[in-house]
Amino acid sequence: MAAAPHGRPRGALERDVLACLAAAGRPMSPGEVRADLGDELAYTTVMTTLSRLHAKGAISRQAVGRGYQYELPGGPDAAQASMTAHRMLRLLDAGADRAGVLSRFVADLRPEDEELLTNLLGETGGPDRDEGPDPA
Amino acid sequence: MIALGLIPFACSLLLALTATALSRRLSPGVATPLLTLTALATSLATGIVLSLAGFTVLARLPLIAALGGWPDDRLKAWRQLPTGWGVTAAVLAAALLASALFYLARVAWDLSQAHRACRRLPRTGDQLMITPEEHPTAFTLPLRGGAIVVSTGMLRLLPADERRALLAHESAHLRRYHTAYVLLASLAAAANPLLRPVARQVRLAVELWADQLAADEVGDGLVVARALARASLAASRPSQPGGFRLAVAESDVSARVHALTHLPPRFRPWAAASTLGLAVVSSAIAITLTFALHNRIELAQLVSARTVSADQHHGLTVRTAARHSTHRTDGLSLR
Repeated sequence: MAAAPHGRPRGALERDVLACLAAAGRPMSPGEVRADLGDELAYTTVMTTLSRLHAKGAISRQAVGRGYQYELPGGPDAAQASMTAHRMLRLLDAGADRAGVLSRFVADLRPEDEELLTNLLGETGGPDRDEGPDPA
Repeated sequence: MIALGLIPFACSLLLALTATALSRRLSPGVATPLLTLTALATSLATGIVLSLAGFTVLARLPLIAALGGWPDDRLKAWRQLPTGWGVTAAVLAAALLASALFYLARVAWDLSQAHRACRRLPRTGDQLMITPEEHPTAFTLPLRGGAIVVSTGMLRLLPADERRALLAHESAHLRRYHTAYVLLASLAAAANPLLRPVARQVRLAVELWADQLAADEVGDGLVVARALARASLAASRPSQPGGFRLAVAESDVSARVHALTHLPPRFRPWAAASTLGLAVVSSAIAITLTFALHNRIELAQLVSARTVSADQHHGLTVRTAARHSTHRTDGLSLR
C-alpha cells in the first residue's frame, strides 16, 4: 500500500473518492475528482486510486477523449435492492435504537441545539445552504 | 454481612452520579473503556449479591436442602437476613437476569436483521456502502468486518472536507470496536438499571471518541463540528417536548460540538483510579460474600454428615442429634 497522504489511514482515500463520485452522481475525470477533494493531493495519487477502485470492480469507467471518466455503477436493479435494504435498516434504526446495534452519525436535536448548530454554520462560513426545516 | 452486600449498590449509584462528570473530565478514549469495565464489574457484583441473598432463603426450602445435602433446619439458624429481604432479592435477581437475557436476545435479533439488510446492499468499497436515497443518513454496522452505510443524500449535503470528516468518524467507530463498548455497557445497565446513566455516557463517549479521531485525521475539529451540524440539521428528528430525553442536562450534540471546539481534557489519573476503585471494591465484595456463603454451606454439609454418622454410632434419635448439632454450629458461626 502507498503511504497514506495527509494523515489518511489506509483505505481512507478510496472511501473519499467513492463518496465524491456518489455525491456528484455523474461521471468524473480524475482532475474533477481531485478538484472536488480539495486538498493538495497529487494528480497521480488520485489516478492511482481511481484505477485501483476500477480494478476492484467498485467503479466503472468510460474512455472520454484521451482519458477516462469514472462513476459508480448503478443499474436499476442494484438501486432497487439497495433501497429495500436501506429501508429495512432505517426501520431497525428507528425501532430498536435502544439495543445500540447501529451507531448513527446524527443525534436528535432540541430547539436550543438547532440554534447552536445554525450559529456554528453561520460563523464559520461554510457553503451557504438554507436548512429546510426552519420554522422560526 | 448485609451492610457489606449493600456496598456494590452504593458503588452503582456513585458511578451513575459521577458518570457525566467523569466523561467530561477524561478523554473519551480513556472514559469509554473505563466506564464500560466499571459498569460491567459493578453490575456483575450486584447480580451476585442479589443471587446470594436469594439463595440463603431458597436454601431453607426442604427440597433444595435435600438436593444440596444439608439439613434445612441447619440454615434456619442463619437469622441474619430477614426472609422478606431474601425473597425480594431472589425475585429481583431473577427479574434482572431475565432483563439481561432479553437485552441479549434483542441485540441478536437486531444484528440478524441488520445482517439480512446488509447482504442486499451493494458493496461499493471495502467497508463503504452507498445507498441511492435522498434522506441524509449515515451509520455503521458491526457486521462482516464492519460496514459504513451512507446515503447519497448525506454525501450531497456535505462539502468534500466534511464528507471526509463524516467517513473518518464512522470508520473510527469500526476501527476501535465502539459498538462492543456500547453493547456491553447497555448489557450492564439491563442487569442493573441503576447503571443506565453510565450506559448513556458510554454511548456519548464513543461519539466523542470518534469525533476526536476524525478531527485528528482531518486536522481540524471545526470541520467535524460543521459536518455534524449540517447533517443533524438536515436529518433532525426533533425530540418531543416533555419526552424522556429532556430530562438529560446536556444534549449529545452540544456536548460533541463543545468537545470539538475546545481543547481536549487533560488526563486525570485520580478520576480514572477512583472509577476503577468502584469496580475493584464491588468485585471484591461479591467474591468475599460468595466464599462466605460457600463456606457456610460446606459447614452445614459437614455437620449434617457428622450428625448422620454420630446418629448411627450412638443409636440416638435424629431429633436429638439435630438439636445437638444446631447448638454446635451456632457456636461455630458465632466465632
